[in-house]
Amino acid sequence: MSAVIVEGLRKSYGRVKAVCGVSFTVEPGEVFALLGPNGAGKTTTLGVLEGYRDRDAGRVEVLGTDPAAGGRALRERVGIVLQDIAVQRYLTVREALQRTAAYYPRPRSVDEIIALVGLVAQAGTRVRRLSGGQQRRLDLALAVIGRPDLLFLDEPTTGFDPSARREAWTLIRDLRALGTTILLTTHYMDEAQALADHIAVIASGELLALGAPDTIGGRDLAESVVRFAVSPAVEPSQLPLSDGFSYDAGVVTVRTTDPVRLLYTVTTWSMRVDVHIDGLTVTRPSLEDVYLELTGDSR
Amino acid sequence: MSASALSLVVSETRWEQLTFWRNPAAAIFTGAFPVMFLIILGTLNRGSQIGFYDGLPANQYFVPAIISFSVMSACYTAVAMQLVNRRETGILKRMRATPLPAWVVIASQILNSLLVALLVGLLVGVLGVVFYDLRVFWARLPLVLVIMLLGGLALAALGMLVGSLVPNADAAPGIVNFVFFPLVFLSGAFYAINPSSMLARIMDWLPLRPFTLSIFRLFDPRGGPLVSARDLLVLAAWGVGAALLATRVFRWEPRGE
Repeated sequence: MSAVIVEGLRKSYGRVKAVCGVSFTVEPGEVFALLGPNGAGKTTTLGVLEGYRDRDAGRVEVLGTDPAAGGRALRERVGIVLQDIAVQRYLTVREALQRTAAYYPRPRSVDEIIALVGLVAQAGTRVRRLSGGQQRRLDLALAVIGRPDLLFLDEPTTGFDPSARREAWTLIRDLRALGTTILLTTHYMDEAQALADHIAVIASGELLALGAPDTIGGRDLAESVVRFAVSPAVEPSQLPLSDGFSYDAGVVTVRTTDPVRLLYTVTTWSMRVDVHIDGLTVTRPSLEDVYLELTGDSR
Repeated sequence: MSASALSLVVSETRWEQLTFWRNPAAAIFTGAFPVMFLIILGTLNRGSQIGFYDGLPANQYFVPAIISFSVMSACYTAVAMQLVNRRETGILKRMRATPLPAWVVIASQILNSLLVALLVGLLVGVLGVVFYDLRVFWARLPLVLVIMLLGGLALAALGMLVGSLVPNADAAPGIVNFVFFPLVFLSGAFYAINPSSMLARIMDWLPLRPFTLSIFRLFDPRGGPLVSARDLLVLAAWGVGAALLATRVFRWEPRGE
């Protein structure tokens, strides 16, 4: 059974169509990223799945239940981290976790979670004295203390510095390794690339592409760019290439859908005729290229 | 209502107590304000008498009135402000995502306020006995407790209603206190009002004066009836009405989301 099923989801606020017919499924145990620019409808979609928003149309199932009908049984199995930090300011880290753990039938151990999010040194510190990053980690700890099967993360690293982002990524991977299914939203392509098993790209409320990071948007089928340099003395006609390459003072640039064959041709030629090759690079279209191409029209 | 839900109410109320007393703003406004008013009014009125109460020593009226003000402060003001604060900072939204039942959230907040009201009221009463010659009728104390709890419930319902109507955090102190302080004055908590005046007859229909008088009666040495069914009915009607309205306008999230 899929952890999350979304079929033809629609939601408008007045005349503004926030989500227009989005469909995707999230399988148990995977990290699924909703990737899109600000205002794409990511948070609205997540709000419907979390049970905070009603929907205008479409079928939605979270752990086999309609979140609109939600109820306590579903909330016991779902963890939620919202965009804004919301933690009681006058409790200590340990107290806040102890308090929340009591809401769940089989919570994780408080010490285990404190260690997982790296707040061991701050366990006795009151929340109001924590740094912003530490509060975000506590927020995440509160979301997973109840041992959720499914975790919703709304832009988990927005506003983080690079090292804090890396730490958050490690944490998300650790949670995935513990068997938690994770649905996150992000507008960072590298984040989706680094974490997600599957990505849905949405913009202006529409689903533009769906797939694994390596193949999404036909990325695996798109042309790679192979570039290398030879001595300027080499004439373009001497190269073992047919049309479709550019040559500029010894720098050769070729676009190909079959980089392996091309590399074989070029390197064996170089050995055979004894021409030295410099700075050989193969560039596949990055997720960013695909993303910008996909979302380009809708901006 | 299962046993585990009840134990959740108990543990949540304990956490509420802990956070309440650790929050200096809450502790000072709710705890120290009544004590400050007690000292000001008690000192000003020392030795004076209230003519329309048959020459009753003024502080025999004002100390009970400040006890009723303690309950108003803890149950109305604190409940309303806390509700706005938690809603606007997203804590309520976050709590709603947990399996904690909504009624436990509300019940533990109200229980917390009732506890605070009893503690502050007790403090005011003890200070009144020690410094302002308050005469206590010990046999009536259980009734004082009952009236404080009933009044506290009605005021907490009003707090929930007003807190739900406040549009955002910036507007909260203004709206909450704009309703509150004029009513506190006009109800006679800080200034004894002649019961036969037009003002008193109007304020008798609002919740604060019936509550203030219901506490005062239990400290009144003149031997009238201890309980006014009419006053308690007015208070209860406000409480039930506010509670019903509050369930309709209550919001878990800030407006505009």
